Amino acid sequence: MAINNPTIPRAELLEALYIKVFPAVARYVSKRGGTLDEAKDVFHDTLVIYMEHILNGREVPNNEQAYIMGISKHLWSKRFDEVTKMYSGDIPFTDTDADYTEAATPKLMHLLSTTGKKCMDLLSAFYYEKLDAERLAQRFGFSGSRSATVQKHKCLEKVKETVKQKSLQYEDFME
Amino acid sequence: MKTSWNNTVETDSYLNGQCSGEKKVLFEARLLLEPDLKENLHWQKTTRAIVQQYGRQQLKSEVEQVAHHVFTARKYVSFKEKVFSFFR
Repeated sequence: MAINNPTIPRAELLEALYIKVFPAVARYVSKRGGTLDEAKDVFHDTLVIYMEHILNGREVPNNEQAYIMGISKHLWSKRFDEVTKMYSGDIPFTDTDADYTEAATPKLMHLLSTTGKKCMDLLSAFYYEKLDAERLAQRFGFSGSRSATVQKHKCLEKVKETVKQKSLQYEDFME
Repeated sequence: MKTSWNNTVETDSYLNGQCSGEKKVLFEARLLLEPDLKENLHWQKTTRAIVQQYGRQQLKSEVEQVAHHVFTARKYVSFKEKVFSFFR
C-alpha cells in the first residue's frame, strides 16, 4: 500500500501500517524489558516521523517494514540511553522535552484549533501535508486551484493576525 | 488593506522559495527598507511554524485513534492477542 497515494485516506494507511509493523516493534521492545505502553509510544512517534519523511518528498522505501522498524529501533535505543544515563547520573533527571520550544503556547493553539479550525486545516494541508492548490480545492470543495490559493492566502492573513495579537497579549500577561 | 494582502502573498512566495533571482534580491532589499514588511515576515514565519505544529498534533491524534481502533475492533482480535502475548 503506497503511503503517498493521494486517493487512499491517511487513516487507512496508518491502520495498514499498524497491523503490519507494530507486532514486530512490540516484540522487539518486550524482549528488551519494555512495556506495551512504551512500545506504543515508540511506534506512534515512528509513524509520525515516517509520514513526515514521505510528506517532505522522500521516496517510499522498497522495504517499508524494515525501514519503519529501523526508526523504531533507533527511537527505542535513544530512549534506553537516556534512561541509563539518568540512572547513572550522567545527565540530570529532567524532562527531555523541556528544551523543545513549541511555536505556540497551549492557550494560543487551543484558540486556533477551535475558533480558527477551518483555516488551520486548510493551512496545514498546504504547509504540513504539502498538497498543491488543485488537491486543496478537491479536499475543501473550492471551485478550482485559483480559488483555493486565494482562500489559503485569506486564511494566512487571518491566522497571522490572531497569532500576532494573541502573542503580544500573552506576552503582556507574562510580564 | 491592499498593501497588507500584497505583503502576505509576496512573503509567502519568498518563504516558499518561489522567488528567484531579481525578485528575491528586490524582496530582500525591501526588507531592509520597510520595517512593516520585516515585521510581517517575522509573524508569517511564526504562523507557519504554528501551522506545522498543528499539523503534527493532528497526525499524532489520528495515530492515537487508529491505535484505539486496532486494539478494540473485532476484526483485529488475533492482532491484539499476538501483541499482548509478548508482554505476558
